[in-house]
Amino acid sequence: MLKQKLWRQHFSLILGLFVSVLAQADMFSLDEYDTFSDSIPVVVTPSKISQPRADVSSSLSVLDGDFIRRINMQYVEDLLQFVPGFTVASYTSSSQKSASYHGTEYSGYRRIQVLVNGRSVYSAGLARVEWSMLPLNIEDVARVEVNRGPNAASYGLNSFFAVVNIITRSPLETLGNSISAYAGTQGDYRLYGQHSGLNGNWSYRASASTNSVEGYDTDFYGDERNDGHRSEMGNVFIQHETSTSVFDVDIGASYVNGNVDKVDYAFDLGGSEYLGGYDSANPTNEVEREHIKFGFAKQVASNHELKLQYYYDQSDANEQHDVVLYDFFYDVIFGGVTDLSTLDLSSTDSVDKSFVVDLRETRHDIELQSTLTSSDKLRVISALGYRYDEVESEHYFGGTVNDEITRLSSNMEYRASKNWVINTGAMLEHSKMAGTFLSPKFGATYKLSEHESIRMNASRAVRTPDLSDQYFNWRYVLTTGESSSATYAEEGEEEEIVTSYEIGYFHYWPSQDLSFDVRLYHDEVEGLVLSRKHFTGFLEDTPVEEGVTEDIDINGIEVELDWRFDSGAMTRFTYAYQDTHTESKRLLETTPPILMSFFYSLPLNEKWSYQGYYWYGKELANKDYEFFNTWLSYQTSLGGYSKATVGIGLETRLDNNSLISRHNNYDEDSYAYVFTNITF
Amino acid sequence: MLLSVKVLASVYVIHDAEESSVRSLTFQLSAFLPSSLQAKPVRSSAFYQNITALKNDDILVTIGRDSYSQICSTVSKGIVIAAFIGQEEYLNIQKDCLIPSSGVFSGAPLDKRFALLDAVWFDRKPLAVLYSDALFIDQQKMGKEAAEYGFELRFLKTDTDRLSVLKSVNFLLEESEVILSLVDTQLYQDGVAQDILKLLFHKQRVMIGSSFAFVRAGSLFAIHSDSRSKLTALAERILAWDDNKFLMGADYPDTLRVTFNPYLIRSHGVVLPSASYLKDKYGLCADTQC
Repeated sequence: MLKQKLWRQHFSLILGLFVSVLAQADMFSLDEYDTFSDSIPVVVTPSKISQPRADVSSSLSVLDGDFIRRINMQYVEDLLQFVPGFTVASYTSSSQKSASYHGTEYSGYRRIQVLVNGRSVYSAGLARVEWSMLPLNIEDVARVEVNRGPNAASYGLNSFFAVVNIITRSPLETLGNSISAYAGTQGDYRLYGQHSGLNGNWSYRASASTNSVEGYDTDFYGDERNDGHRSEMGNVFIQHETSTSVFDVDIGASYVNGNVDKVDYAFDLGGSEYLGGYDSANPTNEVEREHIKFGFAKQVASNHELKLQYYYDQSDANEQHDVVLYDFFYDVIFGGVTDLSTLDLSSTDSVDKSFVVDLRETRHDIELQSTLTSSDKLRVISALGYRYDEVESEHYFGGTVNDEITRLSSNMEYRASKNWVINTGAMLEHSKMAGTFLSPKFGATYKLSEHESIRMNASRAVRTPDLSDQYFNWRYVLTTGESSSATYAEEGEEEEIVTSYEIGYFHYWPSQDLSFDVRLYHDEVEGLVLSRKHFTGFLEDTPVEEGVTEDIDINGIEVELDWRFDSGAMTRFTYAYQDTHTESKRLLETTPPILMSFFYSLPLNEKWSYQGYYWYGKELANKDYEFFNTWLSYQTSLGGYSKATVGIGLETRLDNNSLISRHNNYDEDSYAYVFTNITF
Repeated sequence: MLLSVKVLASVYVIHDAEESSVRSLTFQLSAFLPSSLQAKPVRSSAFYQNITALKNDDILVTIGRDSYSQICSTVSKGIVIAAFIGQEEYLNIQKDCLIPSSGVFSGAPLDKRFALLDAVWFDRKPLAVLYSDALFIDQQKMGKEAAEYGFELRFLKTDTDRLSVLKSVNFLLEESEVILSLVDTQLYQDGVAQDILKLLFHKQRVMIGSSFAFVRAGSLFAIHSDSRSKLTALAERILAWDDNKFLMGADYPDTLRVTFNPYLIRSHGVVLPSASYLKDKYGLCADTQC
């Protein structure tokens, strides 16, 4: 017996040593990172948990790196045109581009949540996404995941109609250097460069770009528009990876100098409208935006990961106006004259003045997240977060306002059986300004196979009133210090609530690398805010329009098809039909019932390839909008790992309509462009 | 140690690895050999100090590529059997070897790897093959083998510093979804394998590994041999030489096993063949069933 026991011990020792030999001799230095590959995410957005597409209960669009490199877009937001239901366009100026889903607003769109590497870029003050001011270059983007439908249970307040999750490339993916250039006959150009390197477990990328967009050419009257912009932006991304932890620092800065069309200052007096002044020079809007983000993720056990993230974001915008004000207007607005009978409204005597539309927005956000794999069947992700938003603006707020939001969320993926996957969760948030809100979701996916599933999802999300809704104190303050009366928020707005129900079908054919997704949905929106935020405080302090809301129902279907051929060809097709039930004509105008996109990429041989895309929007501001873009590119090796791509293309409008507004017109229907990229 | 050489042939296990591990390995190997033919572990440096005592009948078992390379280029007596070495590494050295040589390869034959990949991975974009100049690569032959299973290979020889390797991977993955790794000691040293797998993780691409360790570290699957199979094949060659002075050819062990990475299998929705199917169709032993 004793002998047998000794043998067992001896055998165990030998076995242990033998395994050690194998690890050394056959596997060399590989045996140090057992937990390295705990998960390879296929998609991460719906529940913040990496999941195969077929397991997901929400509707998801993934624009991956291969698609992004081929589509040859210059700006990240333009990619969203290839997500069903999205419209991307400039309304008032080229630097104020809006990416909207489900419509409802032309500019300052505030009903989607946008994250860059987990950092919310939804602005604190006026609650919109300033795409052109984001320090983000499309060349640095690894993929974009779009959750179509509310997902406040995972991403919190304002994840209302959709969540756009932009994930940048690891510096390991961009090692070396690259330069890109683009120029078009419409006057736009763009230059981009990056360098990435590594040192031990550290890797880094520094990238920068300079951009110029001409904007629209003429307004409705044929007068020249002044809405172009120039921008410079830079990013530094540093990452430290070990087998069980990842630490990253993301620093970005941008500077935008945007042209703004001149404005006439008219005011209403006794039912008649009088011109009180006008911009004497082209106004300019200068914006400086910076952020810094720290993230640390640690695998504390083989089934448990903790992640801590902090970021700070600030944006400082100053729109400079030099104005000529007629004396009577100046006296009323800034001189305190209240007896209007003393005014000579026909006088053209004037004074030269100037004012600045100032807006400084800052955000601190910290979050601790736990991802626990309790068993093969259950994964739970929980997060605790705190956000502090502050806005300083004499023009919009008459000072400084702020809000604090604390949030607690938990989401889980439960594999009830081989076929059923339950995705459910909720977020509880408390806003100091707006109150406490609960956003739940429940989704179930029935897997027909590993690549095919039917899904059902119900979710609820809240768009809380933003700081401008609640604290508007809008006035004009001249550089001399004189201040006008104010248009102010009295009661503020109530929250908007969306309850969404959807069913969907996903099928991926791996032998064809073809995926197909269809979604049917019904959204019930309560209290959609339609109040017009116009300045009316010419004569005295007046409340801004408030409480104008509409309940709407939206029914729709969305289709997405993505096909990657063995030959290297690729095609992507999206279609969205939306039926919006509302009495509001204004809402209907902003909501195109049909949106469609089609992209193709055909390698002609090893060096030449031919690409193109078509985009169609029906009744966008009551007018159809469609365009076609096509280009030919040539790629050649420069030896080693270096290569160059050059190309030439043409974009042409297929309609004769202005875009969204009658003032948004181009002189030419078509423009040509050239581009190049060198990697070395 | 060589001073104790007797008239009978001796088996030397030549290595540069950790002493205790090789002692254990040698102990295991000896269990497959008759008592008259015991294997002795010798560190490379010690071996060269006593190289004059080597006889024509002696058998040199080398552990890893470097030991095999050194023996091949410096020793003129005896035979050498390489172990813990890839086929392409072996072929690169063997063609200039001064003494007759054989080997027991790590990893698995390409046709078996292609056959299994064909069954579980339906994407037919080119497979990327990255290798160092320490390998002998017959691109035409390998490409032909791949084509039989509907695959195309893209080859890229790389310098082995980290930066060059990772740049090469980025370069290759522009057109490929999968890296087919070969046993390549020179390439996968100093944590480079870890770097490659990290990069693949970021790019959401996969690697077909060449050993169990690769799977553990993040490869989709690997066909490999276990210790017993390797030692059996090694002992077979030693005995054949000792008994009949017949040197068997270099080859893979008879028994191969396959290991899948469960996380990647789930993430990529791969449907695994059953253990019995793997055995019957591919002659592979599923890891959990071995």
